[in-house]
Amino acid sequence: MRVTEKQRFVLSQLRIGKQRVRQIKLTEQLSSGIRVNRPSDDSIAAKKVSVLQTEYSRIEQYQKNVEAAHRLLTVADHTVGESSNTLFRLKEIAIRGLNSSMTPSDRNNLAEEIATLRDHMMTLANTRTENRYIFGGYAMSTPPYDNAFNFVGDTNTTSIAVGDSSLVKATIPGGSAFGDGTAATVDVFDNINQLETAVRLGIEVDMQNELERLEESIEQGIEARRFIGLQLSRVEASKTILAYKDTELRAGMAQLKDVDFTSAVSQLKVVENALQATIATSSRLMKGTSLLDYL
Amino acid sequence: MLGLKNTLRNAASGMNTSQAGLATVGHNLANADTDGYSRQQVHIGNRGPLRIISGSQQISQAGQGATVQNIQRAHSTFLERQLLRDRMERGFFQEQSQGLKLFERLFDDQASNTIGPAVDEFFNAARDLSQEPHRFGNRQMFMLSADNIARSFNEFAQQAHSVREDADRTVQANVERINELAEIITATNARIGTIEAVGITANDFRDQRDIAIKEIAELADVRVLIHRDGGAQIDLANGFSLVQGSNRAVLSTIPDPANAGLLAIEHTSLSGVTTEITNSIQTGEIGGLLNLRDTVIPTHMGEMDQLAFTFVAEVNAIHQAGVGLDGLGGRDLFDPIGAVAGASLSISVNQAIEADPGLIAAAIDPAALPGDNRNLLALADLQTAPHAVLTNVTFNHFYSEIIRSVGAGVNRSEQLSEFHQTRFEQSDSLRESIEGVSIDDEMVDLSRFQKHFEASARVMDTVNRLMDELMQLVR
Repeated sequence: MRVTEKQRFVLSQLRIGKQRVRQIKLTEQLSSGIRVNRPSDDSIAAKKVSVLQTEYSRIEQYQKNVEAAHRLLTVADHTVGESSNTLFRLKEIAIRGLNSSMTPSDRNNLAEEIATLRDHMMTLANTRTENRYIFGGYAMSTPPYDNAFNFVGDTNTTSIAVGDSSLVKATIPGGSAFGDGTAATVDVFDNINQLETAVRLGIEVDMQNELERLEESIEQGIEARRFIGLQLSRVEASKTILAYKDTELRAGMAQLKDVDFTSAVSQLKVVENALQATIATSSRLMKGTSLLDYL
Repeated sequence: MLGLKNTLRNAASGMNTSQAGLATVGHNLANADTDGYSRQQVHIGNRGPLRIISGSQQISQAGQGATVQNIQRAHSTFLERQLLRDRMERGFFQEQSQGLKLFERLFDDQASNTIGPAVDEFFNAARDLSQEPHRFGNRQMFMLSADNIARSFNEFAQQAHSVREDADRTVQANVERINELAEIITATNARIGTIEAVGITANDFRDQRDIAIKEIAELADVRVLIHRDGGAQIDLANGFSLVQGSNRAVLSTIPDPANAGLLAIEHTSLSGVTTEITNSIQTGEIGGLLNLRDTVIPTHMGEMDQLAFTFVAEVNAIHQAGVGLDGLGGRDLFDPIGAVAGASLSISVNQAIEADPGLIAAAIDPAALPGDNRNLLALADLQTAPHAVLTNVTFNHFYSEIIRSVGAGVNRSEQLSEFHQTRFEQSDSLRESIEGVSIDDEMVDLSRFQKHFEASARVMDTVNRLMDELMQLVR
């Protein structure tokens, strides 16, 4: 085979060019820290990254949802807790009202105290957080209890997704803590109002009755807190699972996408060596002696 | 009688041939770096002998010196044919991979307006809104994310189309270039014809014609036939004659309404018959561009259209089942799309809902407003649900699969492009080894012809001196 000058030069050019392309690719990876800069860099990895990315963004949203559910449930828990305390205070008052040494003016004072506590209960039942009423079911933009102490909300609960096909209830069923106006629940405000009247009038039988209903009201509050506690523990569990998934997904994406620096650097070293060798041999090829030097 | 005069003539013929040799060495060296140049060789033969009768009736022959029989270019028809094929394949994959790389950028994760993240964001906005469906601000955010999906699809469709248009413009330029090259070939055909009619090989014109033919091969499928009279016949794509002797057909481009107004290629034959040959061109740069323009990108566009269409249909179905804050249902979130084809270009959000986000159907029960978020929960569940028309996978899986197949396509195209480049280089190196100019060889020839010239000159000098001797005798 004859070797012409053109072959010598063109081949050197091509060889150096090829090494340079590999060098640039590796430098791009090293400087960006990312191995898959475009789908063609590794199409399978690009697909997997895209799938994981979706899951990851969903997990992030679930984490936000979990936080929101956590906030709502915590507020509800505190509020119902405070309402239980108030009911206990009312129970003490009712027991004091039953005392036979009470004068009418004493009972009047007690009745006033009951009225004040009722108003406090009213504030609790119409608790508003993050721009919504939390005890009125889906009727979240209007107070669930009107001025006549009637429940005007509905008995729904707001469900929030905290995972794929995993919902938690971020609110308790409307009216379940303070009464929804049906026989299924104790109407706490009716209870307090009746108690107030009974104490004011000093009717012992009615006071006894309302005291018993107070026990039911307290029981109802405890039931509501149990419901909240259950949801909160599910929220906590979801939080742990999501945090775990979050870490897993991040690691998974990093593994697919990120550069393995050790191997990339050593590859770059290999390419650089090859490039150097190519340049060295090419320059010899190009300088190569020719008959011209002797004739 | 063998005279000194004859010897003088022989010496002169030697000097002539060596001069022709030197001239060819000079020509070769001057063109050592010329593209497509084939090295030329001088073939020297001896001139027919002279019959002479010496004293005793015996006939013998005396040489009459040398003559240049012809100057031929080193040429391997087989390799040249192989190289034409390699050029076509190389051109095809080079153009295809370059265009695909442009197309691939539309799926770049770094760009914020890609469809994958937009869809994710939409479903997350639904989940965000499901926390507080009564909030106007959240409803607006949700509409923004819906609008963002529509825009991302629209932008994708437009950009993909502009990649097709770029390919289209290059096709047009290439078709014009083929016409120019055909013109050059007909012209050189004519000149080669006149030169070779008198028995001389038109080396340099043949080289020029070869260069033009090679360039056509880069652009489209060609078949070349060199006729006995030296004329080249060039056939394009499945036997459409492009050049015949000094006549040529004409290629033209015309917008094809059936193909979004992109150009179709027409061939008007020598006899004036016009045929559309767009689909017959399957290799070369034009073949690569057409493949990209009419097959590869439309395939992916079709997938994206299917995605957009299904997305709109499924989202609307759920949205219709719910009610807005006004308690009314049956509304579409996105304007309904009639056909799959072109869905990604035409997708848009319902203007009425965009103007009043209160109409977003977050609720199922008109009596449970504004807090009912069950329809949003159902909507968000769409994200993880498989869809039968999307090969039974989720929206995102389907989209990711498109990314994978685009990436794999670019990869494959790039590898093939590189493979054909390497193959071309190998063939070209072989061709160069036969047809190229080696300075060493030429230096050897230079010395050879120089010595040859010197030797003939010496003979002439000797004859000259003998003549002088004779003249001395006469004086």
